[in-house]
Amino acid sequence: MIKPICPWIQPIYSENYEQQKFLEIIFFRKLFLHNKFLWSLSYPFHIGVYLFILWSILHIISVHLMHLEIEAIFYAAVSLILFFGSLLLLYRLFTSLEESINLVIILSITTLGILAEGFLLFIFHLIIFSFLLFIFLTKLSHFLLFFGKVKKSFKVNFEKWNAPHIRYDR
Amino acid sequence: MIDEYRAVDEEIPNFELKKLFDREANWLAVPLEVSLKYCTNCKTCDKACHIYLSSKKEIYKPTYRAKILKKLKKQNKNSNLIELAYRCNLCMRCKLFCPLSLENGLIAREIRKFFSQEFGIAPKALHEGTVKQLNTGYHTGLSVDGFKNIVKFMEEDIAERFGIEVKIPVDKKRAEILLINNAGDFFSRIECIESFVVIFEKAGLDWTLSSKGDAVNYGLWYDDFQYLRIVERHLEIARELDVEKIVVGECGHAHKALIPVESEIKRESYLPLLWKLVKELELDPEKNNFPVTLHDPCNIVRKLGIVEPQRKILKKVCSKFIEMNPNGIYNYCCGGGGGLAVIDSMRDFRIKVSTKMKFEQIMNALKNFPKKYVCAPCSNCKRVISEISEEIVCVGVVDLVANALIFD
Repeated sequence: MIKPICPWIQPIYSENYEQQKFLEIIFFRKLFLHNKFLWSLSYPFHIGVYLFILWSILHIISVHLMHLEIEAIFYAAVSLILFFGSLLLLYRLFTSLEESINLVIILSITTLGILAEGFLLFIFHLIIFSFLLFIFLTKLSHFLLFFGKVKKSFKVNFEKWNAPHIRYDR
Repeated sequence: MIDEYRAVDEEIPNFELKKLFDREANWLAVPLEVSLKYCTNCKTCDKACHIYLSSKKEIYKPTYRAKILKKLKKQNKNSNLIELAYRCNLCMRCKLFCPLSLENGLIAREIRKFFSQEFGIAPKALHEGTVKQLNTGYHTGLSVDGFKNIVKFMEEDIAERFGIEVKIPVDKKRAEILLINNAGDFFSRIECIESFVVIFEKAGLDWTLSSKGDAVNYGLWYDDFQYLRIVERHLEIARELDVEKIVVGECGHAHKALIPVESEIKRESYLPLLWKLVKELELDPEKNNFPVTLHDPCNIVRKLGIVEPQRKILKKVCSKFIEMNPNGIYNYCCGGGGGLAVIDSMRDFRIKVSTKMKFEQIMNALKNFPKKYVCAPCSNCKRVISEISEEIVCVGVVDLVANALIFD
């Protein structure tokens, strides 16, 4: 007599899920594998956003420890990446109005950022920071999908639907 | 008219899509909204969809349906929305390619659901199938007496083919395993069930068949209520017979319908069980000495993640196993998924559009051989793949295992 195994105690999905999620967030793995052209446009933009967030954190934590010149160079570099990234993405995704407006705003802020010097940096930082809060309300908040889980609760409501077979009593 | 094919005969009334997005009415409203809202229009899914790849028509793009649905959300006008929903195999390959893992297949399924649950509009083959299954237990309308006759025939056929006497257990109480299979196999591919019988008897398992129902669940493709009623019926059969667990046989949709649902009754796919048996049984791979390639059914492989057992089995029971490209979770759908295999009016669509990529894949994998043996662990896929060309011979995993068995 052979005893069958019990697969329901084994995980159904891949074990390296967290690792894959990390690859997706940092390197855009799926886009790289399946759509290299868009990856080459989208990656500079997103890496610019990531660097900007990193810069903001550094700025908040150690604003007095860093030299203003180093900060300015870092900011200029990030702005440049963001500038080209958003310009390229704008060229690719101009069909959607909402995305286009968001990208134009990022583009204009980064353009000003590249031109900005000294004390003005802080003001621009504030503008971009407030904008980052604003994009939570738009489609550009799609990064949230990697952190939140869509909860599916299996409920069906008989009262809400009208087809004859719904009330077919079995 | 979106194209020359027709899945639904009824006239579509004017509708309001509000209910589809009402969280009280629709338990999938949130993922549906997310899929519609966050699509960045990157078009990566175009490269994943076998229907679009083989036809290059704008209307078959995975994102096209979403685009129309978004427009209708505001306008509420009559359209060919339902026909668009039946141009999708629900294979979810687009989800695998999407950088944000959005579900365009789900959008198609939800549109089907809306029309079925609100107006009772669905392809006749699907709805009649579920109604027959709820009334008789079988989507083909098979009666209990008919089932018992088939079982008798199988016993005689097994004695003739394999030279062994078996008594097939039917409705045996408190057995360890309840095997449920597609009822279509009882008519058109009886050798598949016979192979299960031979393997289980050879391994000495404590198992049973049920005369009260088959594994198919058409509700999965178009209606939550029919889907849940059939699932409940399957579980009820297992409760009545007081079996330890349900083993789902060669039917991909039955896997997807029954296995992920929450219940106190244990359920498993036949593939891991078969791999366990294959490791312990005496087998001769030289009996299957023809080149054979493996098709990965979307429901079993991509949606449930059962990738390795069937490969291990084939390596053990076939002397010339050749992989298709792409394979595993990246496989192409056979072209009959999402109910298209059973809708007769969509036969032309299957032959001209949806099976094209699968045909190319099979031809590439076995280009040097005159007869193309394809192993498909799903009865739906077997039916569609054998329809593609006369060169193709479609077999199941259990058929190959039973063929390789050594009898004393």
